Amino acid sequence: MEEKENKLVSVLRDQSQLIILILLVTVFSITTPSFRTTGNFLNLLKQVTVIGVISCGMTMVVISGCLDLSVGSVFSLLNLVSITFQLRNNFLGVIMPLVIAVFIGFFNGFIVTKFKVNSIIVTLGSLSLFSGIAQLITNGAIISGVTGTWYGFIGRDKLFGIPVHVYILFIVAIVYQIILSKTTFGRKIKYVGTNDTAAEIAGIRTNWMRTMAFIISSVSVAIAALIYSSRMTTASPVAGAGYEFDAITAVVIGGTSLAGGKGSIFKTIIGVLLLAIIINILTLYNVMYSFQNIVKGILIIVAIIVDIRVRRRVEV
Amino acid sequence: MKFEKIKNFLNEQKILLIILVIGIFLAFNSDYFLTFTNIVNIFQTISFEGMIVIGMALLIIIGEIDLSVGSVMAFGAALSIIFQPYGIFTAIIAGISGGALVGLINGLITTKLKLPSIAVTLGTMVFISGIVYLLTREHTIKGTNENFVSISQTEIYHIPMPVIVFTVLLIIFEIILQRTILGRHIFAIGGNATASRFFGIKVDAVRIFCFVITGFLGGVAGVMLAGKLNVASGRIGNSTVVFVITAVLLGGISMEGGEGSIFKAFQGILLLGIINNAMVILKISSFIQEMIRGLLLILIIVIDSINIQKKKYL
Repeated sequence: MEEKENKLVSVLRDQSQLIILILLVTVFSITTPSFRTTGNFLNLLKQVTVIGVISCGMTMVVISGCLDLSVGSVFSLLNLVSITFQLRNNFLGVIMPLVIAVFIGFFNGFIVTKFKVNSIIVTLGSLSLFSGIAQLITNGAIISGVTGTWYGFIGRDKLFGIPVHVYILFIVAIVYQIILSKTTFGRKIKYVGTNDTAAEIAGIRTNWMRTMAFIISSVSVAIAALIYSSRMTTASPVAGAGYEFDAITAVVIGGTSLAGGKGSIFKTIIGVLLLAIIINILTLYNVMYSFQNIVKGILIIVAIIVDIRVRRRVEV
Repeated sequence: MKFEKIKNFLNEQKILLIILVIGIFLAFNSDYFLTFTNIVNIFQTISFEGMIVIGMALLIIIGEIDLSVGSVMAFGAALSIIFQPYGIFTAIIAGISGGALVGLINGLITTKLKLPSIAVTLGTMVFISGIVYLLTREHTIKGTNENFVSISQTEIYHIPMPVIVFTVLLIIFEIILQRTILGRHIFAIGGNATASRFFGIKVDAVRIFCFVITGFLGGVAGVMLAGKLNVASGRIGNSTVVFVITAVLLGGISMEGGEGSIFKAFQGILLLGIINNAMVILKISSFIQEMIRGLLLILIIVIDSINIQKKKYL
């Protein structure tokens, strides 16, 4: 009897975010008529897919024990790159952001791992660096691409009644989850995040693992930027400002520990949905935009505190 | 022997030398650079963020960091504009104590819950920025009391008030750090926190003190900044944190903690100020300036880290 109870408690604790999510959806569906409309859900999905794909990549970096603050300005930069090349050729518009993303991820990862520097400070620097480059490309202006081509497929079209970008989020999430839980690469990244000295002694190339995590993060940002620029067919040098905090908030409230070593894509997706619904409700009730930042800040701090508490209890 | 001495001296004072080299280069390339107006201008520009640099230097020496400084500066500015109807004095006190309060919150969460300060202050940075946007109703707000500008626009012997306040703060905190028991405790904790605790140093109290001082100085900087044009907005302090951390590291204070001085941090901010001034004089686009700031931070943290690794293997 007692064992059963313990099991129930541990399941509840493990899945507390999912339970909160279900509770929130139920409560708001009952209390707020504008929340349960199809239009609102479609709107919600638009926000969820862009931040969701970025957060999936961020999860990899966080599990490896680092943090990537540059995703916001990398998003803006790749957004611009995509539209700039799309003006010449649709194909280049899709490929170039992905190629450049690999280089950006490698740059961040190389500096963090090779010189053993705190990833937050390095990516704070690259945040300014890439934001400067993004604004330099168009001199701070907004540019628009060619509309009415197949370039708009991923952002605007539907497949079997569901927007294409939702499928992309699903594919990204499933692929990353498989990488994390079913491959040696995934297991190695978790080891590196848990204890990098031990991982190094065990023969894992820790630097390479972390760099790969950063590359995965940037490539995810490129995919998210493609969804966005395909939908808007315009690009702005500040399109992604603040996305880094959205992604970090989503990852952390999903339950992935900032200390590294633990976490899953599934949890992050729940975190993204939680954040999106909270913000959606604030918007529906006409709460001022600035409250969103306040809520995000509180969520980050609360999630960090809860994470540390839970971990300490487990360690004891 | 003599050569060794010169080499040591050069190594110790390399930032001053770089400042000198850049200064001479600029003096030859621009008639404007060495004018009294421009030099006062350089000092006035760095004085606001320079105040925060003092606090950040204390925090990095003690082995912590504060990412919320930019938001705190905007918070102080907004409070000092909002409280103007109750008198200038109240406005100043409100701005400064608001900053100190955020510092206290940062310190309490970090020490009492034993959380990494870099993560905690990332949270408070977003949180306080939201509060500022809320206070300013997402606009640029203007003060009601026209005399408020006197706190920043007053000049004594042609030297503007912010520069004087910055200089006084520099001297006070250098004395606190080098000549008092509190200062020695800061160095001790930064060197080895566990050992310091065994020696009976109140580690948490000193850490909280450093966070409060950083918040307090952020508040002072915010009030002075608001006094410059009598306005405040949520956009104030966007790039402050990059600027401030770069300045401290550039001055030669290591992220490892336990070493450094306020004078070194001052050299760092002065060098950054001159680089900024040079970019303005040479008419470099603001976007490139932002890029250079980012690159500088990456470069300087890499150099710092290489030095730390070297020390480890010695």
